[in-house]
Amino acid sequence: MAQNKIRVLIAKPGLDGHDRGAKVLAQALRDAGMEVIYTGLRRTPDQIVSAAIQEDVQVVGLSSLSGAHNNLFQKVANLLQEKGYEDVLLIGGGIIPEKDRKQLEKAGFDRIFSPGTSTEDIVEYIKDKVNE
Amino acid sequence: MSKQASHLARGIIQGKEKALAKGLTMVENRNDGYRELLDEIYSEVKNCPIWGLTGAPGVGKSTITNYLVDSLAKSGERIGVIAVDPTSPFSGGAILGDRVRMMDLAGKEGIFIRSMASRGALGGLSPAIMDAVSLYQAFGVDRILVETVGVGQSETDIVALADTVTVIMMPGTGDDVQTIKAGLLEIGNIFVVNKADLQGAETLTGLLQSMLSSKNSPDDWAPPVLKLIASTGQNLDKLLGEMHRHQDFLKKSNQREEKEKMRNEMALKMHLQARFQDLFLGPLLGTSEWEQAVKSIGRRERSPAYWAEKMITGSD
Repeated sequence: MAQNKIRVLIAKPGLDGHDRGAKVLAQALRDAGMEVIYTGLRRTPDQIVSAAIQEDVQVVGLSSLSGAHNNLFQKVANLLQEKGYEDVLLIGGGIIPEKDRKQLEKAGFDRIFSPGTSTEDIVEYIKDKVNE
Repeated sequence: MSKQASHLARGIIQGKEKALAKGLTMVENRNDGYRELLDEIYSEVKNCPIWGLTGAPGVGKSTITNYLVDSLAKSGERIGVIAVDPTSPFSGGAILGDRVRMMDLAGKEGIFIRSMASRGALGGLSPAIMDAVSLYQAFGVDRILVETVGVGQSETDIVALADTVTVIMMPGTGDDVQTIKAGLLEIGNIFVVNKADLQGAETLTGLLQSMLSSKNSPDDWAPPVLKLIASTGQNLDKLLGEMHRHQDFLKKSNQREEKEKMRNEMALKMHLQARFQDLFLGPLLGTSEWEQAVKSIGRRERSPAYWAEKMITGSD
C-alpha cells in the first residue's frame, strides 16, 4: 500500500539567528501530516541544496530575517536549477520587501510569503501545488 | 516491469546520488515498482559494517554521529547515514531534526545522509529502513550508521539491523530502576554516558558498570562504558576505537554471519507482516462483519479475541 508523504526542507540561509518563524512553520507542516527536515541556522546555499537532493524533498522553504535574502535566496534557486531540480516547489518567507518578493518570484521562486501570512494558508498552498 | 524502477536500479548500482535519493523515496513510500527496484539491485548488495546508535531524545546521538561520520569520511570511507525520528501518531507528520547537528557534513564528498520518519513502526524501525540499508549497500558505501530514537523500552529492532549497537545515555534521566527496566542493557555492545560534565555522570557510569558485570555475557564481549562530552569532542576518539574493536571481535568470533542471517530474517519477516496486513487486515476493515464485531464487543457479548479468531478461521 503506497504511503506518500509530502517532504519539506526548511532552511535558514546565511548569518541570521532568528528561527522562531521557521520552527513555528515546521510544526504547522508536521501537524498537517508532512515530514519536515529542518536544517538549523546559518547554512550555506550549497549545504541547503545538497540536503534537498539527498532528502529528495518536494518542497524547499527558505526563511530570512536578516536582509540578505536577495543574494542568498537567489543562489539557492540557481543551484537547484543547475543540479536539475527546478521541479522542486521553492518558497520563501521572512522580512522581505514587496519589490524583492516580486523580483524573487520572477527569478525562480514559486512564492514568497509576507509577514502575517497564516500557517494554514501556507499548508493549503503547499498541498495544492504538490498535488497538482 | 516498471520502467522507472529499472532506471533507478541502474542509477543506484552506478553510484548516482540522485537515483539513490529517488529510490529511497520509492521504497519508503511503497510506491509502484518498489519491489522490482529492491529485487533488481539485490544481487549488487555488498555487505558492509552497520553501526547503530540509539538513546533517548536529546542525549547527543546526532552530535556523536556527526563526529563519527566526519572522522570516517576523512579516512576515505564512503558513509551512508540513516537518521530516524518519530512520526506523530496524531497527524502522521514528523519533524526530522538530525541534520541540525550534522550540517557540516552536507555536501561533503562520500557522505550520504537520509532522514526518515518512523511512520508508526513498533520497535523503532520500519521495514523501509531495512530496505534503505539494501539500497545504500547496492549504491556502494563502506559503512552505514543508523541513528534511532530510543524511547528505551521497545528498541529491539536495532539489534537485528546493526552489527554494533551503541547505547547513549546521559545523567539525570531517571533512577536506577529506569536503567534496569529499559531493556537497553541487553541490546548495547557499547555504552556511552554523554554530557559527563553534568552531575550524576559518575553514579550512572558506576551503575551501568555494575549491572553489566553482573550480566552473563555468553559471547565473551564485555560491553565497555565510556564517559564523554560530545559537544567538546572529549573521548569521541575512544568511542570510535571501541566501535572498531567490536567490529574486529565480530569478525574473529565469526558472529558477522550470524548477524547477517538475523538481519535477513528480520527483513523477510517485516515484508511478510506488511503483506499480511495489506492482504488480510486491510480488506476486513470497515466490512459489515467488522462493524458487527465492534458492536458485539461494545455490548460485551463476545471478546475481541473471539472475533479475531472467527474472522480468520470463519468458525467459532
